[in-house]
Amino acid sequence: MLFNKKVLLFLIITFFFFSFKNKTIFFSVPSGFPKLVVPKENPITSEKIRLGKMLFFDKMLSRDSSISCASCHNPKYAFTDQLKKAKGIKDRTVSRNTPTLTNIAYNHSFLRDGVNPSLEAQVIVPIHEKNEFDFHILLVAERMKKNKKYVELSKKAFGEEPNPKVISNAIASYERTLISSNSRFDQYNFHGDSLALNASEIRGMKLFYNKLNCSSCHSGFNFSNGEIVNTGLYEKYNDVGKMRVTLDQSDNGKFKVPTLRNISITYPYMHDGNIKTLEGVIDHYIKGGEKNPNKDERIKAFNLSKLQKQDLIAFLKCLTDSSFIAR
Amino acid sequence: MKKIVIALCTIICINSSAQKNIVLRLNHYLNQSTFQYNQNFETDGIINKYTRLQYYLSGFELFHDGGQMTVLNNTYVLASGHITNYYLGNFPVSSLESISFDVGVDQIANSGNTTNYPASHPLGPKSPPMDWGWPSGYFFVVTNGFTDSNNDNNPDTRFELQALGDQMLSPVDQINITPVGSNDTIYIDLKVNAEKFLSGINLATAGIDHSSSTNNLIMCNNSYQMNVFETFNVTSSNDKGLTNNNFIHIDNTLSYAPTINYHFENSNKVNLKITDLNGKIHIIENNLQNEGSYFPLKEFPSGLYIVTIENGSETIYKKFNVVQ
Ligand code: HEC
Ligand code: HEC
Repeated sequence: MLFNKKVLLFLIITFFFFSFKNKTIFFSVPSGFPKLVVPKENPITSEKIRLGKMLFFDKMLSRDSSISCASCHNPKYAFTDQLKKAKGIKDRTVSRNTPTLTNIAYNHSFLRDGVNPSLEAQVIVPIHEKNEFDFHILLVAERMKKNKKYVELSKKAFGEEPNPKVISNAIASYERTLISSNSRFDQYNFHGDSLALNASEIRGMKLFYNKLNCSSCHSGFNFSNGEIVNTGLYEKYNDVGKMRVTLDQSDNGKFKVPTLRNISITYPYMHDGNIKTLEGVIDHYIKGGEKNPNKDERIKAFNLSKLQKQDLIAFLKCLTDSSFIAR
Repeated sequence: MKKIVIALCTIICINSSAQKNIVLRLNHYLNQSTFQYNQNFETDGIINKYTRLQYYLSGFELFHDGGQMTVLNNTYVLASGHITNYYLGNFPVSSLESISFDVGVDQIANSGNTTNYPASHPLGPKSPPMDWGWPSGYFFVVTNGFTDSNNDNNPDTRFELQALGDQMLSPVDQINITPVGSNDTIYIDLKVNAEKFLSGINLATAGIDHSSSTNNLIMCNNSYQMNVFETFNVTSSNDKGLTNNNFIHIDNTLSYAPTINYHFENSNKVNLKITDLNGKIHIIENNLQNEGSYFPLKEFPSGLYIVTIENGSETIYKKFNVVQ
């Protein structure tokens, strides 16, 4: 039994892959996690991951070479920037808070309002956004062509010179490796370590799953059911969320249910970074949010004692995966 | 015996419809005169001018050879106001009767990703971009320009209509054509009444609108509601100033990376050169088509530049500004 547990743990922590002749990589899915669905057009290979990682950290993707993807999605902060609102080139302010990329591969829709269909398609967004890289993907490819290393990696991974497809497919492949599955919650729940959580955290977990039903939205292994909902954060939203694309009033203020993994590090919270602390977030839910015609009916006021609040926060904090942050 | 008959029939059929190159010619007009950027025109009695006009066509159907229909799958056209000729492909057609198509991009392609195509493909990455970015999806019709909002006959209020969303797809019914042809090529001429895209839209209040708004839907639907596309008879129409309509129009949607739109009436290949004010050459590109949108794959330092395009007998040039 002990042996089995160790083997299992080893499998999970090392998150290893087999390299086959066709160079396609098969992840061993961490326990408790479903199979990762990768688009047929862009199978993961170790070469793509390598190239994608290099691009993700390369400031050359921004017009003035001042910032990279990692400037906003910093691995130290679970791929966020801990700013209220993100900052692009020339200190331009982005209208939203930088979301974590924790387990992003398991998302079915992308951006805070879920209007983007794939990781591949999302790559072009920050490159072209005026307030982020303010650049053009064809010119990024030209910059890559001037760098021998990129040309070599690009040919290895795709058999092609650097081009827009190489850029988007490589970065998406790298993003799919950002798997976090070793929080104390995972150790307790999936790895069979019953001592991983203390009494307060277990009480918090029960509140989360039972009494407060947070898990009606923040559900499953990744704490998100992927829905796009209005949580009544405001009576009137400055950022209309999904409505910016659908122009449908019933989508006003609707945002994607975010994962809560690594939540203790990814402050400040919500699409606009307007809530500084987890305590503040809980207060929002205790109050049942503001009045809003689109507010989801699962958001209802409730009572919570001081101790219960502490317990709930303690539980949220054990979703932090220090091995993920350290990479 | 039966097999031989079938084989013979097949051979006869194939021979009777030889493969031809099909070229769509979109003859863009503004109130009956040849399309020009920054040229005043009237829509619904109001004076406007275009700084950008681009749109997608897809879902082509060719009706030919006495009732046959050929569907052009995977044929996309990204049309621009200053470009007339679009190659549709090589098909077994000998005499063409009519054409139908959709303005916009079909749902499947519209849910795809520009980076899946090379830059030269109509659906590939463009500059200025023809896709929105946040959600995937192409701009079906883009009209940018100025409108006269205070009745002084001077269009000086900016509008930027860029239509998005599957629901914008606008079917254009069969248009009869009088094809002009040679041995191996058939030209399909259509007249594009470009001012009619804007009919029924209050441009003074339209502003910058990249969305699936009502205004954008009207603009797309005008394709068939207002007959933006019409049959066109080349021989009977002599109002097209065939000489001396050579021009360069700089699209500086991206201040740091302008796109050079150019057009020569003469179909000879052209050579393009970009120099700075000191005469230093930054780009030389030879043997380009006589009309097109050239996006320099090069980063220029801020400053003034001159683009010169010549076709052996005619030369045009234009100054442009780069702001990094
Ligand atoms: C200037 C800061 C900034 C930079 C640089 C940046 N991002 Fe983002 N990222 C954001 C913000 C803010 C959002 C949310 C945007 C929205 O919802 O519209 C986001 C969203 C995302 C998402 C969607 C996350 C989700 O939960 O749906 C992905 C994936 C992503 N970024 C990847 C990247 C990649 C890859 C790069 C580099 C090519 C990059 N980002 C560069 C700030 C940034
Ligand atoms: C109706 C679905 C729903 C329910 C129920 C729900 N949430 Fe949320 N939660 C969301 C959405 C949507 C957001 C993002 C809102 C935004 O960005 O404006 C969010 C955001 C959060 C955040 C901030 C995440 C971040 O990265 O900014 C935390 C923490 C959180 N919820 C915890 C909880 C807790 C604890 C409960 C139970 C008391 C709960 N949620 C119940 C939908 C829900």
